[in-house]
This record gives sequence, structure tokens and C-alpha cells, in this order.
Amino acid sequence: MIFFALTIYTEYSNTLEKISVGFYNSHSVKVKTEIFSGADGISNLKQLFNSDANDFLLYDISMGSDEIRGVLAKGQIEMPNIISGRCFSSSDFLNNKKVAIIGRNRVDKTFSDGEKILISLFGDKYEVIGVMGYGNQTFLDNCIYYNLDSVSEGFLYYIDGKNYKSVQKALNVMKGIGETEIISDKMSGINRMFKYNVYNSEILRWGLIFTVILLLATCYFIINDSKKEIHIYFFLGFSKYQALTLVYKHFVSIVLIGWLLAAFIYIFTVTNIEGLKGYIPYFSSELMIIPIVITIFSLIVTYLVFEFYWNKKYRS
Amino acid sequence: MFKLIWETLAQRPFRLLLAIILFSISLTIVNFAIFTKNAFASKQETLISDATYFVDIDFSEGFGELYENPNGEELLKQMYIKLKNNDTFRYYEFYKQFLYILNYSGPSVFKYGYEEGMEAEDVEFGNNGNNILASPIKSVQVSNNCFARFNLELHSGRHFNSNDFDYDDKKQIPVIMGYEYKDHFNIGQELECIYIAKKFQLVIIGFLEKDSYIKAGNSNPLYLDMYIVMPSINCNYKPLNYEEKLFQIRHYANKTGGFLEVGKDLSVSYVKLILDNISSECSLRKYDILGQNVIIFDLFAVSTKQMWNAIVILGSFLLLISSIILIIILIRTVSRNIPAYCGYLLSGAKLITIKICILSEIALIIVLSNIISFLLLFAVYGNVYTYNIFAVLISALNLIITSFITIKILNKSSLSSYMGRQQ
Repeated sequence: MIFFALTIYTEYSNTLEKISVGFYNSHSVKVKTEIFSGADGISNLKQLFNSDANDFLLYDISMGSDEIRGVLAKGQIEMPNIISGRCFSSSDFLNNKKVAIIGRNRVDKTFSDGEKILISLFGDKYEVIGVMGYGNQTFLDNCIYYNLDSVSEGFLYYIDGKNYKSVQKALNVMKGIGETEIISDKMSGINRMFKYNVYNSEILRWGLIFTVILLLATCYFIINDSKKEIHIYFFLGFSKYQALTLVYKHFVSIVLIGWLLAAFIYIFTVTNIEGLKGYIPYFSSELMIIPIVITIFSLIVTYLVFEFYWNKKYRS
Repeated sequence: MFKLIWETLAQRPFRLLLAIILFSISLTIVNFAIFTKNAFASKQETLISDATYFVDIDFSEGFGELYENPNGEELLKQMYIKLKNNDTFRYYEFYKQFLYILNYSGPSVFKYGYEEGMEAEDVEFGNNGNNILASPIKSVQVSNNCFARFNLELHSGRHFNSNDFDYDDKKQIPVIMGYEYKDHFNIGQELECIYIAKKFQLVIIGFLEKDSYIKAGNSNPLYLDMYIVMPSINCNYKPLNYEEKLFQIRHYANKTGGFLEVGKDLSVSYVKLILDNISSECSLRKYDILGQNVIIFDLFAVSTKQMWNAIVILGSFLLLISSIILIIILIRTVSRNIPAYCGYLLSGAKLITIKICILSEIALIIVLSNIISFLLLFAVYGNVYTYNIFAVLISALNLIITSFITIKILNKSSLSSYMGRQQ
């Protein structure tokens, strides 16, 4: 439960920071280049898109505002929370399409054309494929993300991606295509202003110490509470592993109850608290992997405590 | 009795230690949450006040008529004095006017337009073949009240004093550099610059603290790390030539294009009316309102409340868990010690003495937890005020609840029923 509480807190503060900097990750890179404009613009974009660089996002921010930006996405990428419609897919790029994802506040500027919902942009009509937004108002409500290849006149970009490696790979491909200058520009989000990251790391440190101590205490108490049974098992001639099964039975039941309760509270919190909607993922691989790692770690610790207990207290 | 307390504690030292550790950590997090909230609140006050809002004004009249008017610059100076001395609002001079630094040798990140990917080109100044290369460098001009209003603190050097804002056409202008300049320039170093086509001598008097910013109105905060902060100077002299007149007109047009901080009881239209009255008194036609931040969503301000709520929920959750664990541990300890308590009773001890022993144990856990938490916070922050009275009140409440529950378990009937069973 503590792990899920810490997860909700960190996911929430991370998303808040990301929104405040313009929905870029901290490993994103701002670059100045003209390789995607002019006659060779589209072919250079195709070269980047078809290269071995993967899991990256290219944002065209040449408009001078973060609100209207071109997007080229490839692979597993993180986009703002979509509240209706869908996110960009690979077929939306470099296929002579004009598609856009818009913020909630832009919905009243859309119009219908048969089955499609459209929005006017650069004197042209763009099909609205999705609407983005969060539980409360953010700058994304005013944004329009369009497929970058529909207007290739840019000179200033952000390369973002799943991780630092994917960003660097895309950057190297761009450098290979033509002159690409990295612009050093520090993100100006809520972490920079309020130093939330400093406060958060303190809170998380104490939260993790709390969790580890609680975990070790649980292991100790389970063995301590089972010692009479272990004693009987020993004198009846049961093996050490049969006695260990008894301990693990207690442990697994506690872990299962904890997991179920925490999952219920997590889903309830994420789906029902208005201010948290969209900020925290319903499911992520980290969300599953970390509790499993914690459980395996606890089982090992329990085993070690048991081993110590069995050997010292009874064998001797 | 002390022997009895010691024996009770010594029986289960691990449980006692566990209760103290968990409760200490919970108290530390709660204290930290309150401390964080206070830190955020003071920062938020500089961003968006409950009582006031900012109005961004701008002189939007062409300069042509003022250039022709023999008193053109005087009209703007009058306007400035009226803005500065008006009782309806507070006036802050804050505008961005880049400087051409002569013989600039620093990195290009400080150049005007760098972040926008449109770095301005260097230009040559001078004549008679003695041309000097000048680089356009980002700069802001501020009034003295901006430092207090936006909490601008110095990394090193000194603040501006009131004399630094008065310019007499001869003296050097002191400047404070953004934090990023500290590796490239030194305090006392002199620079030559061109500000609105007029040459000035600058002297560096300090460096701003890292991540210093000004945020007035709805715009994003302007971080000053890469800016030269120049005083918005007052030209207390009549222009002696036409070039000087042009300079003063353009400079005072900048000076009168700052921010008004207005009480929320006054509407924007009322502020506009006042502004129109002032400008017409000065025979100036047009001042526009560019924007105002009247309760429009601002993530920077709203996030403070959101983060505070998140921290409080997390802290309260951990405190709740540790309180439950504390109660469980004490109930189990008391339940398991019932045979011992019966033994004490048979040996002549009074029930009240046993109860005092248990209460002392609970009090010891809570007092020790508070002391450890206090020491931890003091060690990290070196500030005794980090520890909040609220945490002490929570501890007191925990003490009352835990004592009530454990004493309720340890009554005469539970002891006599145990002795009865044993008989």
C-alpha cells in the first residue's frame, strides 16, 4: 500500500512537472536545423523516420509558442492524456495527411465535414483525431499538435523520446543528414521554480526507508509468530523446507491481501479523484515489476531470517 | 516502579525500537510536508497574490510627435512620476531591452534570440575606421522595488542602492549579472555597452542567485540566469542635443511600459480609466493594457496547492499506518504481558502502578520519536523551526488514543479472568 501511495505521488508530481515545461522529458534536446525545410525537407524527414532511430518524438516549435507544434512520432512514445479519439499512429506521418490532436479549449473551434471533425490551421483543414486534457486545466487545453510533415518550414525543434538513448540516436541521425546545432535552454517548469524535485527526493527517501523497515519487521514478526509451529515441525521430524512452507504460507497471504487492497485503493484513487485524472497511468510495467521485485526481495529476506532462526535456535 | 518500566521495555526491545523508528519517520514526513507547504506558500505569494493582480501596460503611441515636441521627453518623465507616485496601484519598471556589449568575449548562449533559434548578429559600431564589434546581449531593466517584490537574491556582490538609479550622463551604471555569468565575468569588471543607441560604461556589482526569476502577469516566468540586470535609470538632466533627446524619449517610453500591481477590488476597466486620465494630464494620447492576470489558470500557482495536497495526503497516510502499527504493537505487548502483570499484582503491586508503567512506555515511544524526528530535521536543515507544533499535537492525540485503548484492554476483569483460567 505504501508503495502504491508513493507511486501515485511520484507519478503525479512528474506529470505536473512535464506539463509545466511544455510536455517535454528532462532528457529532450532543443535543436536548430533547417534540414526539414525547403525542397529536401520531406525526404530528410523520411530519412529520419525510416532510420534505425526509434521511440522518439520530433516537435517543431518554430511557431514561437509551445501551443501549436508539429509532431513526428515513432515507436513507443509518451503523449499527453487523450480524453477522446486517439493518439497519432505511424500511418499519420509522411502519408500526405493533415491530422491534429487538439486541447479541450479548442473543441469549440472545430467543425464537421461529413464524418470527419476538422479544424482550420495555416489556412488549411486538419482532421481532428483526438482531444487531449487532464482532470484540471493545463496549458495543453489550448494546444494543437499537427503532423509535422504537413508543414515543413521549421528551423527549431525539440527531440524527445522514451529515454536519453533514443533521443541521442535520433539526434545523431539528424546530424548525419545536415547541420544541426544543439540549443542550450534550461527547462522552466515547476521543479525549477519551487524545487519540488528536491523536496520530493527527501520525501521519497524517508518513504522508502519506512517501507523497507516495515517489510523487514513483517518478515521478523511472521517468523516470530510461527515459532511454536516451527518448533513442533522440527520435533516431528519435518524437513526445513516443509517448515519454510508454513512461514511462506503466512507471508503470501499477507502479501496477497496487501496487493488486492492496494490495487483497489489505487484504481479507486486514479479513476475517481478529479484532480488526478490523466496524471497517473492505470497500468504501467513499473507498477507491476516493482511490487514483484519487492515481494521476491521479501521472500528472500524471510528465507534468510528463517534459515538463521532454524540453524541457530534449533540445530544448536 | 522504574524497575518495572525497565523490565517491561526490556522484554520486547525489538518491537519498541520498531515502533519508535516508524513513528519517527512518519513525524519527519509530516513535519517535512508542513515545512514544504510553508516554503511553497511564500514562493506562491510572489507569483499570485490573493489581494492583488498585475496589469501590463505599454506606451503604444508613435515617437514621431514626441520627437518634434520641444518638451517630448518631459511629457514622458511626467507620466513616469505620476505612475510611480500613484496611490491606486504600485508601479514596477520591468522591461527587456537588449544591450550591445562592445568587444564581447563570452559564450553565445547570452546573446539575444539564442533560445528562440534566432541569435542576433554582431554589429560594428564606430567611425573613422575604428570600428568595434558589438554583440547583442540579453538584458532586463528593473526598478529597485522589483528586487523585494520578486524575491531577487544575490549569489555574490551587492544590491542596487537608490543612487544607482540616478544617471547624470557621466557616471558608470552598476549592473547585476545573472547566475550563469559568474564563470565568465568578475565583480568590479567594467563593460562598454550601447543601450538604445547611446554608449554607457557598466560596472559589475554582483551576481544573482541561481534560478532567480521575475513573473508578473500571465506570462511565463523570466529566468534571469542569462540576463544582465540593469537599473532602469532616471535621467535627471535636460538633453543637450537631439540624439540625447531621442534617447530619453525612447528610454522613458520603456520606463513607462512596466507593470501595475492593483488591488483585486479594482476592475481592469477602472485601471484603464485611471491610466487614460494620467496620460491625458501629461498630454500623451495612448497607453494600452497588454494583459492582466485576474484569476486565469496558472499552473505555476495552482501546482503549489496541488503538490501541497499530494504531500499532505502521503504524509497523513504514512502517519495513519504507523499509528495503527503502534497501537497493534502495544495491544500485543499488553496482551502478552498479562501473565507478568498478574505476577506483579500477586507480589503486591497495585493495578494503578502497572497502568502507569504502560502509559510511561507509550509516552516514551512518542517522546523519543519526536526527539529523533526533531534531530533528523535539524541535521538536514539546521533549522529548529522545521519542527511544527502540529506534529506535537498529532503525537499528543496518538498518545491519548493509544493510552485509552491499551488501558481499556488492561482492566481488572481481563486480569482476573486470566488468573481464574490459570487456577
